[in-house]
Amino acid sequence: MRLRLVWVVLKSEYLRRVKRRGYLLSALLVPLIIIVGVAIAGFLGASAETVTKPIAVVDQAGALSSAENLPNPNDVQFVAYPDEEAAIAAVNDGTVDAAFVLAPDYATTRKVTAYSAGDLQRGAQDGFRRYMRWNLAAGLPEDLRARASDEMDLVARSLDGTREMSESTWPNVVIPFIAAMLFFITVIGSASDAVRAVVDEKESRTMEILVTSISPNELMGGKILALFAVGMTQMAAWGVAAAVALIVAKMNIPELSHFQMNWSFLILVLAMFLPAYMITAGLLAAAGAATTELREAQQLATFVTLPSMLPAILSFVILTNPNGLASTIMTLFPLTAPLTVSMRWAFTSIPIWQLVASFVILVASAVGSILLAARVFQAGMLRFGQRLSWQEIRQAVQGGSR
Amino acid sequence: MALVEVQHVSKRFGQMQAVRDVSLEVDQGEIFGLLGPNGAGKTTTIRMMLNIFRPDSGTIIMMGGPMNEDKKARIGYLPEERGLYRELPLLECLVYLAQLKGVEKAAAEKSVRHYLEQLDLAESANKKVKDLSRGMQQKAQIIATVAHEPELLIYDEPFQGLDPVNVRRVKDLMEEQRASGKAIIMSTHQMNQVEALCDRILLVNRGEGVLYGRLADIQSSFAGNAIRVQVEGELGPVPGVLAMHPENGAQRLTLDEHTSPQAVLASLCGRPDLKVLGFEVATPSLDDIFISVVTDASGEVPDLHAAAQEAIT
Repeated sequence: MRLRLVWVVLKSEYLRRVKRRGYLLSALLVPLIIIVGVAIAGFLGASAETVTKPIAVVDQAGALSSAENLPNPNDVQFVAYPDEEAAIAAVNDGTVDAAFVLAPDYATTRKVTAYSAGDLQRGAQDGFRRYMRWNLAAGLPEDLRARASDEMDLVARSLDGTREMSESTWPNVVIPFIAAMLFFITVIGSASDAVRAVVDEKESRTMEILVTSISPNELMGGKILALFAVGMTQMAAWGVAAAVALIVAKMNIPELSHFQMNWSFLILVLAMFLPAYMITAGLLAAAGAATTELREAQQLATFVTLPSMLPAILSFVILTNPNGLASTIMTLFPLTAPLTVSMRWAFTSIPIWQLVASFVILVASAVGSILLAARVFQAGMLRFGQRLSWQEIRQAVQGGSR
Repeated sequence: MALVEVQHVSKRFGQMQAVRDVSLEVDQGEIFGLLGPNGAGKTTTIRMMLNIFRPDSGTIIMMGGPMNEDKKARIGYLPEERGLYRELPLLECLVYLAQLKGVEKAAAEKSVRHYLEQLDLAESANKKVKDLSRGMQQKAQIIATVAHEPELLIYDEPFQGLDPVNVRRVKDLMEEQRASGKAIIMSTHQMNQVEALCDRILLVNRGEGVLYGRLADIQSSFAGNAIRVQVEGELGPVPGVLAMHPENGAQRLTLDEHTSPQAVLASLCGRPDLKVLGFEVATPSLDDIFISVVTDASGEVPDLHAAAQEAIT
């Protein structure tokens, strides 16, 4: 294989695709919309969540002996009101954001009634819980009071200690998973373009010039890598947008403030999706070479893309029983492996033998798929009027007849 | 040593014998005509030379050995199935195709611009291919064939879709290429278009070679002893002439075996009652030769323009 020619094909195919208006729109405009959208949502959410005014408290039970505010001046401020009517009037005239009324029998029923002009804000509720704990613990040493009033951070950890998920770090699992799904969709999308790339050459009748200039392997290699690069460029643009959006969101959405990117997971995803891409692109290019019309080729392509989507369709099976037989089979089968591994990774600890076996099968299938594509391509490259029969495809795969 | 040697090559597609026992050689510095009606097996023979198809039997030696990837860059091929990237600007498309033949980008652009100029396409360099007329696309396709300066040029139906002015331009280009020592294989069913151009030919019919050799030798062997004259005045009996019949406003005279065309010319010029307007040795056209060869073989006249589908497509 002459790499210089692969590079010429790669570069030309890449630039031709990237310069298309539709591509520019999806690669640049979509991320821009994401950033602006998150910024606006973050801003609106933040302003909605911020409790700017004090909150009224009516202690009909006499449960709060001191009724003092938390020492942190950024925390919600509470003002004691003598009775329910006064507190409701204060809510109505806007002096306070909300009012919490402890029932006279609070000591036994724990009943508290809240009043607010609109929806009761979560910030007000959380603040009231902290306020209650702080004051119920009055008389204890300061550090104990602080601990009692703070929310706990619950961490769920797998038995071997390799995975954990806590209430504050759930985005660490969910965000990489969403990234993996997006990555998967991009990969399938760019691989699907391999069908078009082959059928296009047939329809434009450039095939005969191409195959008398360079080898089918050089041509297919250049095309498949170019499509991958196109997909990755889009992912990179989206990735940058997502990073910016996250930074913006972290400032405004408290749940995201603990977010840390799980790099080992992303590297695993990348390592699995590259061979997965090669398998898909190879099989789809073969479909393009065997048929003569885009529509027919796309129908054939469904046989490849549908199994790849199977883990998403069967996600409930994987999520409810991430180490079950179905999950294991889908981890080992090359077309379903990447998505299955991404999903299981978040919820269980995958046995190492499964990861290794899955990766080896993936790489071997990728090599096989590219060789298959090159052979079918050689047999079908000059078929303009009539698709290859299954028998011809079989012959081509077995020994190559031209 | 011949640049191309095809020895007893056969190819079958399913029930159809596309090529049967065809042999030919092409040398440097010659234009070789691969001629015959549509569906005769010309394109299949070319595709076997280029290793697009493998022959069922026989041997093909290209530039001293079997065809391989490196030799692709030394060959320029104008396929019968024309096609360029319709969405690309013409210059970019042609430079890309030359780069695939191993030419550096800058050199490719220089060469493409030269040929755009020569074939009167320079003004369309930045137009998209799909916006060019059919004739312009045809010329562009010829540039894609020659821009990398190959040693061997293979043109399949090169004059398809060209007007007479552009046919002349392309013929001039081929003659230049021959003069510079390149070998040219020209495959066409329009035999009248190329008789003046070819040095040697192979005439194929139904997959088989029916006539092979120097064009001049073939024509003279089919000429018989005949002349064509156009005169003002009454021709009357001429010594040494066996038969006389009108042909396209002139008279075709069949001479006896002892009489030479020169003798007849001298005798005609010596007659005061006649004015000789035209005189030529009656060379048969390739179409005539083809018809006579094929009729001899099969007893029926072939349909030269039958729209038979070429081999595989």
